[in-house]
Amino acid sequence: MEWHAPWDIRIAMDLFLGGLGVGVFLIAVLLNVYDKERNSKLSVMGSYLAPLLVGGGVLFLLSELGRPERFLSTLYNFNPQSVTSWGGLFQIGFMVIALIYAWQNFKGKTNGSTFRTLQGLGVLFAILVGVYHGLLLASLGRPLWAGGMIIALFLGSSLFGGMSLLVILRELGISIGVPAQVRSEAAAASSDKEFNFTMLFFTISAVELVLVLGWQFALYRSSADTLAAVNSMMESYGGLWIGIVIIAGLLIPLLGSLLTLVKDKSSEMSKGMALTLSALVLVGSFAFKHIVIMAGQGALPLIF
Amino acid sequence: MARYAMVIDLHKCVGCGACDITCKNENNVDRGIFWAHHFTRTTGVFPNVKYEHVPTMCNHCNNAACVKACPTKAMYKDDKRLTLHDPKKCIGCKSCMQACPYDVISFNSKEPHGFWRDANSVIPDGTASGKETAEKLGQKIPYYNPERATTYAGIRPKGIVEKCTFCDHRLAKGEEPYCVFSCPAGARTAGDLDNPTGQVNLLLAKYGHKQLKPHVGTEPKVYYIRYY
Ligand code: SF4
Ligand code: SF4
Repeated sequence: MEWHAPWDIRIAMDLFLGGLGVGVFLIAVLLNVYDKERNSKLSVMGSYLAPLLVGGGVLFLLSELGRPERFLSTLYNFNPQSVTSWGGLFQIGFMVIALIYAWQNFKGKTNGSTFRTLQGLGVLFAILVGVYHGLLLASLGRPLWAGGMIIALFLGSSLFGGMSLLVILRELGISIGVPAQVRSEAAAASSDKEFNFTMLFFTISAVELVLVLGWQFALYRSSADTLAAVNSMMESYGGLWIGIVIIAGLLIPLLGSLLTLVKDKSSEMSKGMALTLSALVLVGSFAFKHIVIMAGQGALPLIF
Repeated sequence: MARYAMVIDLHKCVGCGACDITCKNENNVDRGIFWAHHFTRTTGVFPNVKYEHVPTMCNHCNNAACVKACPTKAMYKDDKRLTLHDPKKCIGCKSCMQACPYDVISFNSKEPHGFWRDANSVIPDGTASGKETAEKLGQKIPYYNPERATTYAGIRPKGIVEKCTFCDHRLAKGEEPYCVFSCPAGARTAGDLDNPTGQVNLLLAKYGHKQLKPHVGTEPKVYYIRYY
């Protein structure tokens, strides 16, 4: 019988877009907390984008279900042992909070305790959704996905993707639906407490690169099942893995941001470099999730 | 409360594949899907070559990974410790397929039994098409076994998964699973693990056994005896 992977590219799209959504949300909140005035435009844009991205991911997931109309039954037929059940809960929770949070931003109500509470809850649910993506795979026990590292890898990739998307918005100066008072706040902001995107860009790319290489190294030293899985991944996707995931998606962004920081620790990447590297990160992040999801579904040998 | 298990004697098994086929008849299983299946393996170097034919099926694991993964409790353990599936609860997420280490769950990506709705014949003007045959017989699906529908969907619709039920509809009538009944070599034995003097326990005590992938922790309840 011919082997077909049960999950197709739509699951990768769900985890990619959902990851971008939670990454954008977390970085946007970080910007808001760090320097509300200077970064207000970007953090407002981030609050709009986050639920759109996670919602878009959920649409891909729904289109992959055999019976999408029964999706809500994961709530009333809830299985506490199933990570997928918890994931449904976390995603719905995040969507509700993120939509209210975006509305508060749209209305310019960004100072009260309600806003701070929503922000805190949003961060909590964003982390839960981000962790869920890797945990879902880890819980299924397939050799390539087993172990806790896959959780950190997916979360790191989501943060990096979210960060890159915000850098692109920043460089292109896009601001849609940002209240007028926020735009003037941003324009009047002082220059003494600037958030350094390049430093964060460099830090996340370094951590993610170490994690990816460490994960691959650990796989090569694991059981026969796992070794077979990683060998099969490299056989089918080796070129894409090394070229797009490692070199284009992690190494070049790492070196590019490092080069900028070496010249001047507090400077930012040039517009061209920031846009190019961010685009590479997004492509690399998608390729990473897609390859891991597809390769992890390879047929398992039946052995005594 | 029983705890059903199956013993497969690999010395008796002749590799005829009857179980694969009769299971399809009994359970109205579509083309391309197998509830009962097998793998073969050749190892060694001539003249010391070993050939194995190993029948496979859902292991009705004690610690079933598919049950844990299912977000809607559509995959569940019944009071006989069988792993069963509720088609009305299934959302077709395929988490169970990913979680099962034995790849014994199948997904209905299209409306099943399309062969009987297909007007193309294998040899044009030579053989009847599936559609023609079904129409002549006045049945939507010739060879349909209505007994199957007593405990599970007679035919599992598009968009959900399906798998072996250990012929729970036959067990309910005091009969053995159809693969056991139809095996011409008498290689299969089904019974209750909690019955210390039952045939299953006698065979396990006499020969010892192997299970598929015992290291993954699912505690499979299909036991292979007299392996090569
Ligand atoms: S063999 Fe697979 S489908 Fe059957 S009970 Fe075990 S884990 Fe579930
Ligand atoms: S496909 Fe159906 S039975 Fe399998 S995990 Fe999803 S809901 Fe449960």
